[in-house]
Amino acid sequence: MSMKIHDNGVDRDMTEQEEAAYLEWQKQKQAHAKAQEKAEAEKATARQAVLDRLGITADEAALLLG
Amino acid sequence: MPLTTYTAGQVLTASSLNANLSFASTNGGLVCVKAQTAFTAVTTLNVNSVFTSDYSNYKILLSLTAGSGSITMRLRAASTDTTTNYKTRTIYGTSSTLFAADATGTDDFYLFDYDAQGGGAEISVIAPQLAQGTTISTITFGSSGASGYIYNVAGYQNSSTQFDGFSMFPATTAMTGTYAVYGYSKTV
Repeated sequence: MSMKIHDNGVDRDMTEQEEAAYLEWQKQKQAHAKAQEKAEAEKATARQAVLDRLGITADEAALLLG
Repeated sequence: MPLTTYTAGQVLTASSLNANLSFASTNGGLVCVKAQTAFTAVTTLNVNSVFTSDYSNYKILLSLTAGSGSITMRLRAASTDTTTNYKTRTIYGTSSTLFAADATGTDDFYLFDYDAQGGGAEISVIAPQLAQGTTISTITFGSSGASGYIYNVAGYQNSSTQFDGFSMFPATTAMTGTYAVYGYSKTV
């Protein structure tokens, strides 16, 4: 089934070119999202490692830095 | 013709009343330039010829009732999307936790995430039709599982392109909902 596009007031089937462009964009967006998730997870792990070494919680660290 | 203020005893003529009604319809604070329009299960939303020299600043109201994932937005001119020079900064959070993020990529504005419970966005667009950069700001609600998220987004498209429309894309599944566009009056 063809994907749909809302084209200035009208819902219609995408052309092959439109569908290919959307799928390529979607692939890039999902790759970006995965990379961002991975980076955030790594950052959280690194932060927790520092907290563990210091023996304090995140709330306590926030109090120190505030 | 400017708005006429009547005084006691003054004769109210049809032409004067019509002029006042005409003035109010084109100079009201917010004037609807694109009536509420529905779309169903689409993966791209293109809206053309809504930003004109009549108004400098606009409001887009978006309501989504089905679909899910990230919603992004691009500006367009002459039915063609601009895909460069976007910056987006986001503050978002639940009832207990606040986050801040920079959107990855510069090919569009990131607006918000939502799921099948739905969501909605109020998007201010500053100076899209002027030969200067375009700024957007949003307040959005996006559902996600049991949580609801508030998104406060600020974005800037750095070019002198005079845009006349916009497009939106869901990154995960097709979206269903409505949108309307309003222009802010430039005069008192």
